[in-house]
Amino acid sequence: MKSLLAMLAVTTALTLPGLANAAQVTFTTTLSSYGGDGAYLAYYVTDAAGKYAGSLWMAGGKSRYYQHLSGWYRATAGNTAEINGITGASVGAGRSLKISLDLADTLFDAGYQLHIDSAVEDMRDSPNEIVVPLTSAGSGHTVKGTRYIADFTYAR
Amino acid sequence: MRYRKHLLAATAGTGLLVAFASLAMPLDTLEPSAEHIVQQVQYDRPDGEHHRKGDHHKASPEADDDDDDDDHGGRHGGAMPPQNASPPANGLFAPGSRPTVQTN
Repeated sequence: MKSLLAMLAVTTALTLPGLANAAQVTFTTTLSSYGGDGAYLAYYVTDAAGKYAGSLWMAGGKSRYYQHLSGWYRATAGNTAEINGITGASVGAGRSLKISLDLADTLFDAGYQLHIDSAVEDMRDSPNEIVVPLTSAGSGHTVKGTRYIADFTYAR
Repeated sequence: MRYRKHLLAATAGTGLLVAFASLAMPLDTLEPSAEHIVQQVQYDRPDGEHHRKGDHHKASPEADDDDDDDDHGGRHGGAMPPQNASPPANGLFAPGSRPTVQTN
């Protein structure tokens, strides 16, 4: 009996951290029909003090355009190591981008904010087009963009 | 007492299985060739369309190049896969996680 209880305790201890520390989060971004080329989008997080905490995704593969994502660029000095492995294609007007990430639970309900900078060729840059606090309550709520992003939702 | 032992054994076994399941990785991590197949499908461009993208503000001469490394602007319904298999270790991602992305 004691050995069974010990085994139960061990398996529970092994299981709970894996279940509790991460959750799959899906970011859905729909672009408006702004009539231009594909938009570059930078997804990054700041902490409760407003300090850059890290990048979550970069839509757009040419680093020379990253300076137009000025919020992200200022925070990272354009360091592409920040987006190594999390870079994809730019997103065409009217299209929808869905990104699924396994994120640490500590990002939620702890004052972190998700920022999305956007930029389009020969059009005005739009830093911080979306800024949303990462909270459990905010999951599933649609946020409207101001320039190139029609709306944005995250689901946890 | 006998049933309790069985119940505990079943619970422990389940816990063990879940512990291993929580460490499971996506299949394409185990089988890199699958990613190659996906890339072939996503980059197939039957209409021959070529999306050119110049510098946003044409700030410098070198910025206005031939654009032969175009990233497609998401016009083909697929999604460009990450350049690297795993995200940066910035503390935001779960260890071993693999982002998935889809453009519609």
